[in-house]
Amino acid sequence: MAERAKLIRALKKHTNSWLILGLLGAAVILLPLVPIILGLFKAPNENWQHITQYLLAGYLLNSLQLVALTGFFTVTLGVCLAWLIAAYDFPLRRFFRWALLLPLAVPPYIAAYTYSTMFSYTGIVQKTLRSFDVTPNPKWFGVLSMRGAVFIFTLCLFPYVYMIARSFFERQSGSYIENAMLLGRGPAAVFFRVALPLARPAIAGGVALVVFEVLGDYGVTSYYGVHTISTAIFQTWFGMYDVDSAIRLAAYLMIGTVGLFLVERWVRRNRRFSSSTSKMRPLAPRRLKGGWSWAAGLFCGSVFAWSFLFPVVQLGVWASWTFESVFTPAFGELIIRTVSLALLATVIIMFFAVIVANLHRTNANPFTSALSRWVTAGYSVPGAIVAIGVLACFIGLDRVLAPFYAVLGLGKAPLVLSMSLVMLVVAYVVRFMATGFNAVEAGFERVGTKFTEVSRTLGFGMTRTFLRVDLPLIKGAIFSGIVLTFVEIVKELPLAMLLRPFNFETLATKAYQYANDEKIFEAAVPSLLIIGVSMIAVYVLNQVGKEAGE
Amino acid sequence: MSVVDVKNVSFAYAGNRVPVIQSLSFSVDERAIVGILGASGSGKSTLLRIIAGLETPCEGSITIAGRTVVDARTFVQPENRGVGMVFQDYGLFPHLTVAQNITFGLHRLPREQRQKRLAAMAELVQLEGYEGRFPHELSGGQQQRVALARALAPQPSILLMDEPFSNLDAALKQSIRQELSDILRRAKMTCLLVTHDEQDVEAICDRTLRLS
Ligand SMILES: Nc1ncnc2c1ncn2[C@@H]1O[C@H](COP(=O)(O)OP(=O)(O)OP(=O)(O)O)[C@@H](O)[C@H]1O
Ligand SMILES: [Mg+2]
Repeated sequence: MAERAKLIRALKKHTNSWLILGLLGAAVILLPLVPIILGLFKAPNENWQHITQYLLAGYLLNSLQLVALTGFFTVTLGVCLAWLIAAYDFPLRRFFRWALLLPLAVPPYIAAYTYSTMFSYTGIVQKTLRSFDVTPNPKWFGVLSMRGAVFIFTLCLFPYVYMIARSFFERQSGSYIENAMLLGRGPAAVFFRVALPLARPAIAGGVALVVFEVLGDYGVTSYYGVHTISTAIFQTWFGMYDVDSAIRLAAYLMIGTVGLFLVERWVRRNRRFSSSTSKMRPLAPRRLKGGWSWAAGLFCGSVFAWSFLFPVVQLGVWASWTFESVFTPAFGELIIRTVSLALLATVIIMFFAVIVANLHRTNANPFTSALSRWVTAGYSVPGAIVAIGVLACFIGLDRVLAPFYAVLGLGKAPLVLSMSLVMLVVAYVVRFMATGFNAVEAGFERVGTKFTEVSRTLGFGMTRTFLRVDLPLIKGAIFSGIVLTFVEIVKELPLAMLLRPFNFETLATKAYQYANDEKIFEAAVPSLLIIGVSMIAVYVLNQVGKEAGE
Repeated sequence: MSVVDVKNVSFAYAGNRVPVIQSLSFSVDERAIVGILGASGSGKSTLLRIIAGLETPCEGSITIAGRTVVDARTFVQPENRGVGMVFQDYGLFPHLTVAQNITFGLHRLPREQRQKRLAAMAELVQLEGYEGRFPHELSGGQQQRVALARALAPQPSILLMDEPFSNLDAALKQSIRQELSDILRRAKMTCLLVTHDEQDVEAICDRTLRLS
């Protein structure tokens, strides 16, 4: 009896518009995953037999190979660079410190067609070699393969590992490393015996981002003809028109990524503990001497050149050739449409992100922490899964709404919602909620709950407190959340490719379309625009990192 | 007549088996200033947070000014309890001026009365002329007085203060202690005051409550 009264009291206490809106946001994110989970329980069709017998093993192997190789190379490159920048001083170090983040502004699919053209027989690399009378075997440059995909992913994605590992080395490892040095260990021993083991959780966090990105990729793998589970989903869907099998494939992929997600959590389970033990002394970089310092500078310089400078300059040259023919009024319209679509989705994301983050912060209990974990799960779900889930949902919704459409005189069983932009917006919300949420949560964490509690005791409810106190204090965090989310959406390819209404293009799909039609030079203009917008996000990321360090 | 009645209140933080507060009962008379003493970790801050509505007790009931604010079936949100609280580190809103901080809780008053009340509060805590400043432009003692004025402005039925002197140095503490005592008595305030210091109790409080 007393327990029941208490339960009712708790329900009354917590039920407000914030909770209801938070649950609504969670439902939006849950719905697209329902058809996929249900798909596992349906009886498989004949096609599925064929897929498992002849194709699945190959897809699976390719996916695993891609993930393993990219993971290995991004970790090697990212950690080496992070350690070099954090522990040593050499010419141009301060420039490279942030410039090595810039490759994040180049979406892998853009790097993919840029590099494949640069390395082709008529591309700049082979041409230059021939002008020196070197005629290489064109086979050496065959990037259209697994090798090429790994190369592209490594160049574009290593900054995730670099960024997280560097900030860990700079902020948290100082006293341990100085201690190790005082104990007379050489630089190699310090790196392998102290720095690397300490940084393992941070590195795991970075490589998890890389893996999710690779598993979710559509642009690079399909352009390079590497068949992975993700591309297989698209193929069974659009090539064989077999949605059921596509859903089943998506379900398997999801089980895999959920597993990875849990492993990542498990590896990082002590992260909070390790960072809160005490105030850590920052690591003071040591000067490198003579040849070593030039070698370090050269190494950073060549990574920067290959991952950012070369492709961007090449795109710039191509863009200057085609600018006039591409930049028509219709293209201007395309930009406006892309921006407004991204803004709309961003606003919705930030709205729910703020609601759930504030709920979790003011009522920290198992329910709200499950809620916040739930809304951020989308970033680990590959685009192909989100796309097919959203589509299945909306087709179902159209079926349910059919009598209503009939009343409106739209005809018998029309596809209204599933032919509209609503679907794409929902997919963006599912996929990128985490980006907005993490930014908002970081802002709330910095402010704490003190001011909110003061405001509550002064007679302001949750909503008024949020508007008068919390919002002004976290507006910087909300702003960076808006920028980061907006940019993610602008450069997003697979969801837009799959869910856009007929004849609707975004900058990303336009660029990809050009590239697919072998109009690489035309693709350069939208590509550069996307890279330009993404550079703003890199700047914001860098700023956020600085603030967090203060 | 008692302003606050605490009956058999028990409380444990989520995930902790051992309760911080167990079957605590006491009441505070009108205009009394009661000191709460106890070792570090004995639950003094927690008790204030429960009364203010920032935590929910698992057992017991609390009545403030004749109204039950929490029992097995009731929970009144902190904004509706009519309780003023001065936090240990004051929690002055950094984005608002002194005047905006003090009038923050007066949103239900018409503008004119709000200004009057601001003037009265500034006079009470002797901060006339500082209204336009931001919290970071004030000394520790001045910040504390702003926090006090802000909590008193909406005329709460009871004022809760959590170690109001802990951020001040010894010399300042002496003078402010006397000042606070005067202000509270002039404002005819009922007050629960958490402290570590027996001297505080002697100088300000009518009686004490010891937590163990
Ligand atoms: N948010 C929390 N979650 C879990 N336990 C907590 C939390 N806040 C406080 N505690 C624990 O509850 C007990 C009482 O804390 P409280 O802050 O009320 O003590 P206090 O008497 O105010 O101490 P002090 O004099 O040091 O301020 C302590 O043992 C503390 O560790
Ligand atoms: Mg305390």
